Amino acid sequence: MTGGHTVVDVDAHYLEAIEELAPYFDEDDPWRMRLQERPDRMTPSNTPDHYMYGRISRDEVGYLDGKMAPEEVPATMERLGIDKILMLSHTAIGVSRIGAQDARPYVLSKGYLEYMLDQVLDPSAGIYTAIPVPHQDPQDALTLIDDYADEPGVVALCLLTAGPEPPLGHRRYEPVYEVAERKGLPVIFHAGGSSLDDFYISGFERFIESHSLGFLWSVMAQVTSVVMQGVPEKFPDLDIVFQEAGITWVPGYMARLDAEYLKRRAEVPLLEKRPSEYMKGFYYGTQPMDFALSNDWLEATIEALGGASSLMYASDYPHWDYDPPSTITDIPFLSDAERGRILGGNAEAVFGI
Amino acid sequence: MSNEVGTDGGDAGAEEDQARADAGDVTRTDGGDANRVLVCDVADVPDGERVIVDVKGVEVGVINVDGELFAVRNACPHRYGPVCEGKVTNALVGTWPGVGQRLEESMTGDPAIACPWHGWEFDLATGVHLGDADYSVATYDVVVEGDGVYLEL
Repeated sequence: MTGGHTVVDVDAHYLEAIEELAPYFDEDDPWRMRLQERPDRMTPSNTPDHYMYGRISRDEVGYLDGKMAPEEVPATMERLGIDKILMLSHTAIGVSRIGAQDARPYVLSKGYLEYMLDQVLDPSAGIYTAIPVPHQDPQDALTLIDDYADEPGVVALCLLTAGPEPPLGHRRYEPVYEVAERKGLPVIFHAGGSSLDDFYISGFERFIESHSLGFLWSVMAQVTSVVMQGVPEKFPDLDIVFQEAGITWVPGYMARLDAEYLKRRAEVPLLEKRPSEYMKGFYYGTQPMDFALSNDWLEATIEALGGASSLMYASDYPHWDYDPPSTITDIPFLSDAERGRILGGNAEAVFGI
Repeated sequence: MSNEVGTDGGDAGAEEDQARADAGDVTRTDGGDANRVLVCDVADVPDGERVIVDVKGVEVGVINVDGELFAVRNACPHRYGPVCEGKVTNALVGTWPGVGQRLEESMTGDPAIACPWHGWEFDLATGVHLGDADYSVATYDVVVEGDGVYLEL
C-alpha cells in the first residue's frame, strides 16, 4: 500500500495512567502520594465525549478505559502499517490548560518521561517520544531538557498551542528555543483547545463546533506570534513542526499574514521576508486531513504551503478523528517521491530517526 | 504589478482610476538633455517640504529630507495610493539584544516614506518596499542646476 516507503507517524498519543507515574517519584516526595491517591484530579477535564457515546470505539487499545499498555504501541504500529512512531503524552493536552502556578506541569511531564523510558520507548522498534514542555515555567522546561533530551528515544520538544499565554513567540520562551536549536531538537507545536466548556468564547452547543474551530484558532494564534515575533529569525536552525490542525488552513493564513505584513512592516522590523516565506520553512502534520473540495484545490493547497517537503504524515491515533496511512497514499496527484517524503522521509530527516 | 488579490476592479472610484493612470510609464524622449526635465525651483521645496509635480502626465513627488532631494512616483504599487503625500521618517530598525530580551527599536534607518492609504513603506532613495524587495515604487535621480530642480528620466 505504501509502495515500499517507510511510514513514520509523527503524532500518536500514549495515554499514561497517572497513578502509574507515582512510583517514579521518591517515597518522601509528596507528589508520589498525590499522583497515587487522586490521579483524576490532576488536569482540567475536556468536555463532552469525543467518541459520541459509543458510536466511535477503540476496543483494540485501553484508551477509552483510561490507560494504555506498553505492548499496545507495537500492536498499533502493526495494525496501522507504521514503521516508526512518535508517541506524545495524552495527559499533556490537559496539562497545557493548567492555569495554576503549582508544579503539576513539571511533575506530570517528568513522570511521563520516566514511565516512557522505563516501559515504552524503544528506538530499535521505532518507538519515540517528545518532551512535554511545561509552558507555565520555562525554567522547568530547561530542567527537563537537561535531564531527558539525551535519553534514547527522546527526539523532540512538544508544546501545546492551547494554554500558553502570552503566546509562544513571546521572549519568555526563548531560552527553550535556544537550547532546542543548539541540541538539534525539533519543536512540535501541537494543536489543542477544543473543550466545549472552557472554550475561547462561551456558548457553543456541540463539540463539533468547538472542535472544528478550536484547534485552528489556537494554531493560528501561535503561528501568528511565532512568526511576527521573529522566532525563525532569532533561531534560524530551529525546526518547527505544527501538528493536528490539518493543512488546508495554511495557505489562506499565509496570504492574510502577508497582506498585513506589507502594510505594517514597522511593527515587525526583525522580519526579512513575508510571513509566508517563514511558514514555508515550517513542517505540518497532515492530520486531520480536511475534506478535499477537489483534487486540483488540494494540489494547489499543498504546493502553496511549501509542497510535499513541508508535510509529515500523522495519525493522531487513538483519538477519535485519527488518519491511517491511506490518507496519504490515496492522494492521487502525488509523485512516488513526494509520497515517500510525506509518509516518512521528512520526519526521518527532521527528527533524526 | 502587485500579486495581492485585488478588489473588484469594475467598481474602482474616479480617484483610483486617476491613480492607476498616473502609475503608467513616463514617456521617455530621446537625446541628451531632452531626458532631463525641469520640475520646479529649489525654493519650492525647502527642507522638510515636498511638492507634487506633473511630469509628462505622471505625478511625481519631489521631497526634501534634511537638504537631500528625492523624487518618487506618486502611485503606490499596492492600490495606486498617493504615496508621496505620506509620512517621511527614518526607517524603524529592530535589534534583538539576545535570548529573553525585548526587541530594541530605533528610528535610525535610511529615509523612508509610507503610503497614507495602507502603510506600504518604501526606501526613499531606492523605492524598494522596506519589507519585501519584490515591490518598489519608481524613483528618479534629482539634479539641481542653478535655481532649477531637474529629474533624470
